Amino acid sequence: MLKKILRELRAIRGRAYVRMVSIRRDLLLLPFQVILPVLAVAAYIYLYRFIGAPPEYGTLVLIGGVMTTYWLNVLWSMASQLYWERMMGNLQIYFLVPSSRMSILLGMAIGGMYMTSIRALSTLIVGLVIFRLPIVLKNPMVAILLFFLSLSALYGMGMLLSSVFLVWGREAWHLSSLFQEPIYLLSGFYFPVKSLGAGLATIASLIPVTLALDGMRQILIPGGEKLGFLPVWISILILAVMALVFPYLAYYGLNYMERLAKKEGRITTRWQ
Amino acid sequence: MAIDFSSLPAYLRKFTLSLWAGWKITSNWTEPLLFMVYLIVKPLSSVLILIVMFYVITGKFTGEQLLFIFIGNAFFSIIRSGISSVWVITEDREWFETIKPIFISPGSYLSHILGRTSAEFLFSTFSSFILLLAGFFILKLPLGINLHLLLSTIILTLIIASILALLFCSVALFVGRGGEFLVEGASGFLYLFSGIIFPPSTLPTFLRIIAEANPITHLTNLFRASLKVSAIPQVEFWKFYLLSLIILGVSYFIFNRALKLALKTGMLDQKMGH
Repeated sequence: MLKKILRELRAIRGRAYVRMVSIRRDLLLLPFQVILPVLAVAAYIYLYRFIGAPPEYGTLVLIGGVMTTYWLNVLWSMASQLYWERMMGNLQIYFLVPSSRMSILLGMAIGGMYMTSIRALSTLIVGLVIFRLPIVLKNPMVAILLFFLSLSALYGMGMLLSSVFLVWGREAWHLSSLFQEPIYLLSGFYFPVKSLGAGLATIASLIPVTLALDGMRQILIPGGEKLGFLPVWISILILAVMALVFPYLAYYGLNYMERLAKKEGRITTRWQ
Repeated sequence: MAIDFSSLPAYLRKFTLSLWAGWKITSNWTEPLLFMVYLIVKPLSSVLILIVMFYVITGKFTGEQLLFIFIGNAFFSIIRSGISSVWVITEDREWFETIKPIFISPGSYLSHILGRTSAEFLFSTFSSFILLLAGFFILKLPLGINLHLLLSTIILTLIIASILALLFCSVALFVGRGGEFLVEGASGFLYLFSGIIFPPSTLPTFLRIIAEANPITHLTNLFRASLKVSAIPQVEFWKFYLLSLIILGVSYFIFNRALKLALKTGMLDQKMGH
């Protein structure tokens, strides 16, 4: 039993290590990874200034920009990762490794969180310094809890999606791409989600990033309570449930999709 | 209806086939109708984000500012098609691993790049057209058409998109994993400094200089004027054309040099992996 646990832990560490070390290996790209999200965020901040919005909307956009990096990481480096591995011919190796696929996905998620957090934190600091945006930390403990639950739920969702992407072919690229702007719209990355109306905002709350954004804005923006859709404690509660349910569903989804992929011979198929 | 490609000159054949391949790859060999949905949903979502942002602050769906934002955003997707050409190199080299057969087939590699970029250009123009129609009929935006100015602007946009394609592909030949950052970075930079969703006067003075010197800012204003939502900017067209053609020539020279260098250093088919 202990041997098995150690083996799974080694698999988690092994998969996470690749992502953690990639930050050091790509030092030349790091400034770009920090600056690029700031460029997009800057455009929306200036748009708000153009239409005469109060300064706190700048902070709202910055938080949205920071969460964009996580969403993109979940989409392109979690959900579609098994698809990429298949395209590169690595997927069969994953299935030969004597450890659970869940450990590999968990390692991927931990590595992804670490890698993206460095980028996100840098973007947040650069954004705050350049634009001198108002920010407060009303309740640090709640903020930390909300942040970690958000990441757990978000990456749990990524694990679940990765099982679906396993059997998808070329359409995976298009679907990932389709999950960008429409989700930015639905989750309120650049405006308070409650502006979409109670019905749409409730549907959008099925995506963890919506609740994360809504909660964080209430905690970090001065007067942010009036921008919120749900009370923070409800968001925390829903995110905690999601953080448990998504990995559980991912486990069964992955097993089912793996069987399906093997049956239909999709594990080694490339470019289709 | 089958087209006899063999009767065309090699460069034109390669251009046409790459255009066709561009359509197939981008549409994922899918039903054209389904693809149209993809083509509409993304740009529509991006413009809806801006509309909601505007509504949250102003509480209305009309006004000159909204018109400015809406048209700028619709136009930007066309400009972006030039930058997206970076993916042609990435896909040929890293993804489909077809760069060698394409390179040695009759007709230049440039014809292939221009063919694929033209496909992107056509898709983006279609998306913009749909957005403008939606703006006209749904949001009741007061749009008109100055046909002469619109055609001139579209030709200039095609030249600028080709310049961007040549320059970015020149760089893409030497970057592997950085391709996505190149596209994202250039798009972000142009979105910020081309007067797309806010006028350059909104920027601080030192940044305004960049936006005002950027030819795409003037091109965006020309596009707005061609839809009769603003006065025609004081631009001497012949100078704009001449300057654009000169830069296109320089870009062509740069691309050829980059291609030769990539061949010489073995970077052309160097697979970096993702």
